[in-house]
Amino acid sequence: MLTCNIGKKLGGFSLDVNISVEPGVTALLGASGSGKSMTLRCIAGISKPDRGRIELNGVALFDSEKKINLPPQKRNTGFLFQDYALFPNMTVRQNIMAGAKGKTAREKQAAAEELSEAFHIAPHLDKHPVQLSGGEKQRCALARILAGSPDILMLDEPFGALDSHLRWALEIELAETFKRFRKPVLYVSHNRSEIFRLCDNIVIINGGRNEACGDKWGIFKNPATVQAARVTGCKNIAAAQVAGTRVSVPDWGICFEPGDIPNDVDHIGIRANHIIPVSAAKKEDIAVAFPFEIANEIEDTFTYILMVRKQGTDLPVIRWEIPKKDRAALKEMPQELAFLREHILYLKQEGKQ
Amino acid sequence: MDLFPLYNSLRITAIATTAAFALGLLAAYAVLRLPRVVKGICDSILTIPLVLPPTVIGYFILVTLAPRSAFGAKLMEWFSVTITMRWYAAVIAVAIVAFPFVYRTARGAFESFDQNLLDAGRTLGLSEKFIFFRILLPNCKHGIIAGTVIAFARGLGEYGATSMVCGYISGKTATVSTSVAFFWQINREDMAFYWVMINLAVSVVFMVLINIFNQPKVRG
Repeated sequence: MLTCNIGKKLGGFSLDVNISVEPGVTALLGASGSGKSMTLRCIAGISKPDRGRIELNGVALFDSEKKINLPPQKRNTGFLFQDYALFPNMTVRQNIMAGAKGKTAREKQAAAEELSEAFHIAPHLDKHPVQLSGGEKQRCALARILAGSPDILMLDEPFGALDSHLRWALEIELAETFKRFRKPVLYVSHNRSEIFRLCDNIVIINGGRNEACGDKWGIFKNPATVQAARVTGCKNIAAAQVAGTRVSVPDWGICFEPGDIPNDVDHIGIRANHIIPVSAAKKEDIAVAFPFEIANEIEDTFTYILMVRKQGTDLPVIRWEIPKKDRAALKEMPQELAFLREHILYLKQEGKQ
Repeated sequence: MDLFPLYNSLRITAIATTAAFALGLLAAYAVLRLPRVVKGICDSILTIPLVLPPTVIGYFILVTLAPRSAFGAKLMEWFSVTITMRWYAAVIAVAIVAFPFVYRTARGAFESFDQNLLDAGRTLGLSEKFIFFRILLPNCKHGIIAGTVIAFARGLGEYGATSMVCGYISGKTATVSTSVAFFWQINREDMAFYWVMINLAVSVVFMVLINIFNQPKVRG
């Protein structure tokens, strides 16, 4: 179990993160430059926070008040760098052996043999990193980290340096590795689908602060903040005015009374794939329906993206995504679009100072 | 033909380059982790021998080590040692002149080295010593070797500081470069020419070496 409550100023940017991580996979999800990687670096001890406390399994790694700042060598954290950081002058075997700290030479040899089997890189043991493919490099880096039996595994955008066709197989392997590891895993990425597939819990990082956190289903269903909605892939977000039970969204030219609304809501969102024609919805589920016109239509790989707005207006467009077969099944364009009650996201603007 | 000056030059330069090599690497590594302003100041001080006329370096060595200087007098009193006007005075002079070549190339190599590899080593629990000798140095070796060869070549041809701190004493402090000047001054043009040719031959060898080590090598 890891708790991390730290602050750090870096030029104009300030990091102020307070998270706790249980065994299982926790994702730090946020835009580039939101402080995800910096948080990992502070936990690993390769960057120093200005204040706060980091504790791993009851041991203080960093405590600004008690002047504790363990060197990275003594923190026993496993850190997978985005470019894997394999030592180019060493073979795969030597790289893995370098990670097997506190063992005799013979035990290190054995660890290299065993881990290279587990990570399917046994045939490459005596090659140098430049001779490996991207996927093999990642496996080698993971084997090297696990050779040292770390107390926590931290991964910084592990698929950032890979071609997309390599990712899938590696992702499945990585999920297996996480399952076997049984200790906390911190996973940094800005790819929401990857995170949804690999992780249990999600912490949203925005502008150096952690916002929403919780299990992945909860976060995707109810992101609660504008930034969380955006990084979980919500394409349509607009400012909303709430008066009593009435919500009006001037940008979309709509007004509705959904019933229960959480407090302090100032934005609403609707995912592009949640928008449906009125004809396809049950009347009692509809929160709001409105006539529309199409401003633009873009063909994507498996969907059509229709940029729509309220009929007869010049308002900003709403992105509506519809599977190709559904688009083909629509004999004629529906008259009205509907947002269902269960699909409307009620959001707060946070991280605005 | 007396080849003592060539032997003396090689001896002086070999010792001086070894010293410059060790000190240059340590200085480059130390400077790497300093805060920016301190780094700039240290960098200027450590690089100054590169831009100073060698005679100024010679002057400073004489001022601190000559028997008439405060420190030189103490050395004389305690150990009965005179440093100036001996061949080893040239070792000090050449080491100072050669130092910035090692220091600057090493610093450049260290700085362009992927810092993530050092951090990765630390999170893997590797000692700073292991990281320096087994990760940083091996991966920077081409730059460092090239810098050291240049330092050696520059040291071999050192004249200004050397002639000030140890003059020209035949068979004692004579070097290849001071020999050229000495024989020219006493109108032995044949001897001056002979030592010029030796200098040229040595220089050609070093240019070839520098080019070999500067060639970027791809592993694998």
